[in-house]
Amino acid sequence: MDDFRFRKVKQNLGVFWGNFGLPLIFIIIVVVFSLSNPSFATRYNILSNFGFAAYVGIAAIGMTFVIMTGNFDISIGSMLALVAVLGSSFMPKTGGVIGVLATLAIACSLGFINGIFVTKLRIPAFITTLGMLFVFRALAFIYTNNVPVYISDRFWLYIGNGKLFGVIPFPVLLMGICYLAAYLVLRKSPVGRYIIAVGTNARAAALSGINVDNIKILVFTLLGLFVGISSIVNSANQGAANPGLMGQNFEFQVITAVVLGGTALSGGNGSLGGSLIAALIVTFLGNGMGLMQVNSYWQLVATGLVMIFAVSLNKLKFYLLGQGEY
Amino acid sequence: MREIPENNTLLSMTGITKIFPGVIALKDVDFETKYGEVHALVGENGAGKSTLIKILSGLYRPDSGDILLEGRKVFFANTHQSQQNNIAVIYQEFNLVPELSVAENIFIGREPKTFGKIFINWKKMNANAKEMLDRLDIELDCKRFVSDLSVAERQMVEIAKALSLDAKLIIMDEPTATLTEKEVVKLFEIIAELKKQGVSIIYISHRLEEAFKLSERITVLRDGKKIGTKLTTQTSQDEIVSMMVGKVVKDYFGGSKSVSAEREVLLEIKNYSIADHVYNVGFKLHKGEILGFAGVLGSGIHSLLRSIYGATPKTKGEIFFEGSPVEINSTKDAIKLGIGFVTEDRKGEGILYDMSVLQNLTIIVIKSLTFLKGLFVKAKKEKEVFNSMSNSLDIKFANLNQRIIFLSGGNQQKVIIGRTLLSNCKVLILLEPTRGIDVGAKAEIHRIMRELANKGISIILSSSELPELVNLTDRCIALYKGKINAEFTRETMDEEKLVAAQIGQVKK
Amino acid sequence: MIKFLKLYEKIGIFILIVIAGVFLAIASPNFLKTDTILNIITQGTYGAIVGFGMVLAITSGGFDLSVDAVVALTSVFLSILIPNIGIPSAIIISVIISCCVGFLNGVIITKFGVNPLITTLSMATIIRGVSLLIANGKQIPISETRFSVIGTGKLLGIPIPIYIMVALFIIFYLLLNQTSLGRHISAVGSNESAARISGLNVTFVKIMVYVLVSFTASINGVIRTSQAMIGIPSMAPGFTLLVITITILGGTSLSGGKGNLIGAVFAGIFISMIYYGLNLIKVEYFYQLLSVGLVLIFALFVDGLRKRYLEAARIKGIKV
Repeated sequence: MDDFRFRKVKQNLGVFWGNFGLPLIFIIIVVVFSLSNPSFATRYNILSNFGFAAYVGIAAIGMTFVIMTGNFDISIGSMLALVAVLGSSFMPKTGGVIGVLATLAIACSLGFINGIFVTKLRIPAFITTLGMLFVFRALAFIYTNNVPVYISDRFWLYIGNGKLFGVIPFPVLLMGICYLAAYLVLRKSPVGRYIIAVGTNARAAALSGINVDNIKILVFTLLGLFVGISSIVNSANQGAANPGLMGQNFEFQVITAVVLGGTALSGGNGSLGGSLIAALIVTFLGNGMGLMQVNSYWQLVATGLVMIFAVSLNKLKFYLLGQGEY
Repeated sequence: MREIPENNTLLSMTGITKIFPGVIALKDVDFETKYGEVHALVGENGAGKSTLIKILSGLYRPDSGDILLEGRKVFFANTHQSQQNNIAVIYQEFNLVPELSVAENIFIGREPKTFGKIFINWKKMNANAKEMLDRLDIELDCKRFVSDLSVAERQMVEIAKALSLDAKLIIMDEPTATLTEKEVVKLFEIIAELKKQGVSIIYISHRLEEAFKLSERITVLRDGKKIGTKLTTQTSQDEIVSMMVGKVVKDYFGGSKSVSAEREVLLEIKNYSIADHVYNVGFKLHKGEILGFAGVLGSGIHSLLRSIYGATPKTKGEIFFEGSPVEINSTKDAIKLGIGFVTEDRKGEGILYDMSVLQNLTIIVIKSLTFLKGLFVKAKKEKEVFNSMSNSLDIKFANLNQRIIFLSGGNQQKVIIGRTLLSNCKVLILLEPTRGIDVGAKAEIHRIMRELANKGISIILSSSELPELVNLTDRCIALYKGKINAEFTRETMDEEKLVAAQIGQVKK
Repeated sequence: MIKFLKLYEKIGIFILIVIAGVFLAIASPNFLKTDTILNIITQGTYGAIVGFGMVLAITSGGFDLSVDAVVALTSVFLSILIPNIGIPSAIIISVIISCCVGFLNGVIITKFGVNPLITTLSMATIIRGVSLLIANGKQIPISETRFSVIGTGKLLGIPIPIYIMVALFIIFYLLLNQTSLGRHISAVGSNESAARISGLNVTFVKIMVYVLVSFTASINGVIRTSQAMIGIPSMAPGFTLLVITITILGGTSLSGGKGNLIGAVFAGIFISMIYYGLNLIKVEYFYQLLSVGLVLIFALFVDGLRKRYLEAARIKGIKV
């Protein structure tokens, strides 16, 4: 029965990690950086970090959906740039709300195109999005002739830089709303059920009368939407939409956050909460390293290592829970 | 010829136990084979045969028990180690590489080399392969790609490969399932040849007459336990059947059958064809009728029924539902019409393993259990629907949010049937509904089917367990190679006739 | 239609080259000159050489997104090592170090069970970071002029890189078709579980594949560095996409098991022709990026349509 006890211990470890692992890592990171660098622990820095986290965090919602259905999208960094340069360039003409909505519509349609390629032409998602990574980026360059577009629209700028009651960054509220909406869709609506069903067993979902292709197109389109929101936040933060610099390594940070958050790359049920905390971890880690003046090249190395680490950790969790074997 | 030790025992397995989460697949099983013996292993689906084989092939590790091979204690951590101990397994799904040639497949990983052991010596490899095939009297071009071979030819390649590996023990899992009669005869010749060369064979088959024709001994497994081993010459098919089935309850199939009267036709299929699978099949399904389909692998039944449900496209054919012609292009169309479908592959395309029991049951109808124009699920309503269905099917679970994967096979199956029933189907297509579930759950599913039929739901049942068809169905159609070979009413149907019809022996 | 599709599968890339050739010949009087053509072919070898490695990776059912970073890594090591230990040793050591990257990829993929895309994508970032760290973010010039022979020299009027490509083509062709490793690569890509059950050491085969991809990438790094005579830690951005485009355009099946090396050569030349054409109309670098992306999507589009059509034909009962 030793084997049985071992299995039990394994399982408990897995459950513990599943419930408390991420918050624990987050707390450790905050504590370590606070102790080693006094400028990290200021209220201002912590609050603005939560604001910055919206950049990765909001897109991570869409990526969670996409990864849940067993695909992933590496074109989002370029998509972010393209959406920002397109949106910000016609902003002066349309102004405010309409401009933002139009920008989001463009973002949705870019995601929609990815979805069509993946489902209707059955091209693997990573190849489609790898191609789009270059097409989107090139279009951003060509459209602007590689000249950043400066943003003057106040509504647009408020989305990225506004402060509620003069304290809480507006992106924090925005991220909260996005997560709440996503939670309602995923856990309380039939569509959410369909997304989970397609992710966990697409063939069974098809036999249950679910149009698997449409669900996949939907999640890619949703990803476009969330990337669009991130794009507005990010360009507003920087005051400009830069076709070359925006969204470098963005796909990386977002996929890392989702995987670290506990959603398996092979698809299936995902964790929005996990993605959120992991997005915070990724952002705080970056900010902390920046404040400690870690060489940016080291940060590049760290980004890659964290990704591999996150996937391995996920594998370990599934192993502990004994779900890999069956 | 090898030297054969005195006690003559090649393999002996003792006290083998294997536990999966929620299921005891094997419990304290003993099994042995002698040199040059054909030992038949029989049992119903889910009896534990395939688990035992997977342990021998190194795919699974037993939780306890010993394996002795030629008197040595052996342990297989992987398939490679099993092969090194001269054990070969020929699965129903072949382990051949389609993009390689016959010779390459036979010698994969052991290719003869030339030019300082760098390049493959094709000449020698092809010659060696030919020799192997000749030894078994098989005519096959070694240079052909496996992707171009027929099922029977692939099987022969597998056997030749096993022989080239100097296999002392060859395990054959349902080798005749997809073969034609002529090919079966050829296979039996090959088996006789292997025996002569001192090779032992563990032969797994549903077809008892084959076991009796070929084997020296027969071992029966049931529900993961060994029921007994008999010398073939000293037993009868009846005895083996009763060992397989266990206590034969008279009322096993759930009481009286409905009387098959002329009722209105609910579903009619005309001239239905699916490329390479089904040719010009037509049939009628009456209201409240249980219509059986019998056929071995390759009969096209599954393709036909899947296609009627809209899960795979048809080549041509018409479907009439309640008298009017209908087009079914997707599963959604079928569900809308009132056709339900329960897959034979519960794990692969039935259960949504990451989801709860509740979510699994309500997935088809979830859209109708909503408020705000389909935006949000009414949690209370969903629970009500779930409770009433789970009560009527008597599904056992710990709590609503338990993941379905932790349920027993029988309860998983009930959830899937319940899922289908919730869509208010008038026609229920069931493929192998009792595969891999225990005897008690089986009886319950039979009872459920009978009740549904009495309520006026028409059922199409495809089953490889013939007693199920004989005892449950009002009519039964036997398909052979994509065509209807025979049709029986309840009066004319018995197991023997079905067996004959599904292997193509009855010509109308 | 089916005949056409089958034909396209075999010689589609030739048709594209002919069309592009006719177009370029009309557009530019300089196109049909030996020098121009040799130049285009030489440019084509870059992608083709790494394409050979990628063909192996895709044939084995895997993928490698780290090739561009490996090119840069090789470049940086060459520029640092050449002044210290001489040209031959520097090349050998740089190539070996690059192969180690492939080895790491293979180990992470097989032993940790991490998805190949994620592994190699992460590795690309890590290797870029390491290259930048080693070079301290700067470009390092190489003064040893003899080194430039590899990238710019000619033998019998033909540029050296073409010889290198031909040699590698022969080696990879023999490897894929005549050695057991090559056949095992096909086997793993065609039916991995069968390969495993047949007792193949799948781990070894996969690790070898990733080492070989990195090897081709490092050869590319040597040629590029020799042409530029400078070690560039940010060398070859977007090169991975080019290589994948060449591999797929060259007819290597994404579903694994079937590799097409000669197709990679011609696809490399085709892309090179497009670049030449774009240079003629003097558009900016971004258009090259766009064109590669579009060609890839076009190739996939045609492949997707072909699959759909064949499937539809099969359902209708037409023998394919």
